[in-house]
Amino acid sequence: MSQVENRRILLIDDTPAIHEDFRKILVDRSPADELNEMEVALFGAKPQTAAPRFEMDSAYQGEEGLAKLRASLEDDRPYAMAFVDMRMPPGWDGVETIERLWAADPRLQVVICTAYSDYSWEQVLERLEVGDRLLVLKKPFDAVEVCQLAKTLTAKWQLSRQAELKLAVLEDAVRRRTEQLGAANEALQADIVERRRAEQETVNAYRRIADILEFLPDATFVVDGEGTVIAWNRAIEEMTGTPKGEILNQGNFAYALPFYGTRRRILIDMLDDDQETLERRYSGIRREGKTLSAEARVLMGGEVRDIWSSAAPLYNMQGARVGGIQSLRDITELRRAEQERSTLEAQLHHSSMMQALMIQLGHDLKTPLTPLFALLPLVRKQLSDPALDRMLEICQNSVNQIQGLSSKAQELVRLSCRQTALQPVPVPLSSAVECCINGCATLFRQRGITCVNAIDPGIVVEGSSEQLTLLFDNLLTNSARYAAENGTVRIWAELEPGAVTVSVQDDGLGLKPGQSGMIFDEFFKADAARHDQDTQGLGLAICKRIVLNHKGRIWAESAGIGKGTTIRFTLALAEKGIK
Amino acid sequence: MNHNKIMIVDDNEYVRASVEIICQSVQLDITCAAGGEECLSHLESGFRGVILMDIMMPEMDGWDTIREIVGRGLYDGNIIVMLTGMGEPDAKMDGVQEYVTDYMTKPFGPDQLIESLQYYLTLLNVTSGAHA
Repeated sequence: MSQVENRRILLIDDTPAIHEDFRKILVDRSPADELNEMEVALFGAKPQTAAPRFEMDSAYQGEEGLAKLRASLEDDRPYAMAFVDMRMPPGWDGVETIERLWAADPRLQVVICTAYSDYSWEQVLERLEVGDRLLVLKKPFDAVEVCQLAKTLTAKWQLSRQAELKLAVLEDAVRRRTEQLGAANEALQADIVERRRAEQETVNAYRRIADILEFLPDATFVVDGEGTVIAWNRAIEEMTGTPKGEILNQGNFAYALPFYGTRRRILIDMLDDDQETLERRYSGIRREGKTLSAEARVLMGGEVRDIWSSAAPLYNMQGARVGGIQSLRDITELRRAEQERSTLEAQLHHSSMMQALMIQLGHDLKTPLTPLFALLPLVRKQLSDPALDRMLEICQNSVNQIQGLSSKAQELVRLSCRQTALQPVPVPLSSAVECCINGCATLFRQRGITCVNAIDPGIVVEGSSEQLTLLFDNLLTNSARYAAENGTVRIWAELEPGAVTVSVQDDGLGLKPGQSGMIFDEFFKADAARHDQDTQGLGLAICKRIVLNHKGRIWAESAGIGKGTTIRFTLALAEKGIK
Repeated sequence: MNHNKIMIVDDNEYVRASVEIICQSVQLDITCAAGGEECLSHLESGFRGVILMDIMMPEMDGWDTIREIVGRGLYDGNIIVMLTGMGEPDAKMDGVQEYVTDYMTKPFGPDQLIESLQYYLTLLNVTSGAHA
């Protein structure tokens, strides 16, 4: 701490002689000092503590003293102490000077010099904030006293300064330590916040995963490493009717109970089994990686259900097995629908096979029928024996029946073909009927029947011209057969919004109550027609098919046996239905 | 010269025989062919007249045969009438329909056959007369 050694003294006194005295005492070297130095040079002895020498500045008035003090402070060479005379006319007295000196440098040690008291000591103390910085030196001075004062007070200044510096160093250390602690504390705080955030994040993530599992649409449960149920989601509650409360934290295969009514190993317990063992338990079981999937039929809530399920092991971050998860799906409805679909497909396949068969049969029948048709009349022409002719007639009629049956059956099959989509065109109703009446003219004439077409010539319906012709052909042929001998067949049409109801009425055989619904069935023959070899029982079935193809309705009305029959059906009007 | 010639093309022997018997009963000149190839060879040999052609035949059906007749330039001077079951739609007829003069539905009676054949012969003689 040599840098704080300070032997600078300021003397403020208005008496120049005093300055001389002080200089002799404090600055000039004494003979004793010189002696001391010689001793050290000659004998190498440890030097006696020499009276220290001081650096002294003089001022003769308080103002001058203050100026010197300020200059010294500016030069960073402060005075350690000052001797200040009490009375220094005409300027400031000692007390005022000291006040001002201290105002400029509070560390300055001061000795006040006085011969008599202008102020009592009490007054001085009253005027100055003295502390331990002020001593009193009474005139006349003793040289030793002055020297001791100087030594003591400069030493005191140095000690104070050292203490101050030490304190500053300590304070600095404390400040730096405090700063470090503050920074550490801040870091710690930040760390705590970060940890809390991470913890919250973990909690949230866990929550989210739990929620996802909870709301997973597939019925799902999770077990821990001991096989204790640790999750049982809503879908599985719904599927099994077993609430969480009854199953969570249960071990010992409790999860099998809702499905099998007994505690047993299920898919989730078989993750480590070999394929052969698996196959024994669940046929068709599949393993993809670590996941097993299988189907099982179980009795649940008194109902047989088909359940598809898959199970997989669960691992923690370290790769250790911590449990398993199993999802289940009720596929009963799916299986049922599949069953129904395959049944329908089989039926459809069967029906199209039958259809193809019927068409082929109908077609193939034509070929063997052709020689019979062609040759029987030729043979009959060459016979004169009536008995033989009768036999051939029977054969010929039978051939006709086969031909009729095969034609009608083929027609019906063709009309029922799903592929035969109706492509409707506007068909003038009255002229279509007229055309068919002409076709049946021979039949009508044979039985003396009058046919009346009362349809408004302006009516145009929407339909297939070919099918409608076939429809009227069949209806008129029927009427021609079953109308009364020399009777009348009437055809008329009644308009409705967007549609027309057509009626074909005869006055012949009529129907028994209850027959009207059956006459449209395939191969149905009313009693009277049962022995008619010219009919096949397919005519009205064909009519019904055609009307259905046109999205219409067909029905029969009859007041009873012998009271005639009316066949009625609806057809859609063409856009410009009436001309 | 009047053509009186008829050819029946059908894989069924009895159908061929029946047509043959009926034609012979009214002195119509009848040639029989059991399939498309035979029909073509008759045409190659100079046959011209009314051809009654069955549609469904093994190997070469009626439509294939017509295609071949036209392709070989043997169509002129003939009338082709298809023998058919009723109304079966057939995608194979596309493009050769215009060479078919009429359809005759199986089975047919002798009177109907004779009547039709005589009509077609008249038609054939008129058109070839016009060509001539």
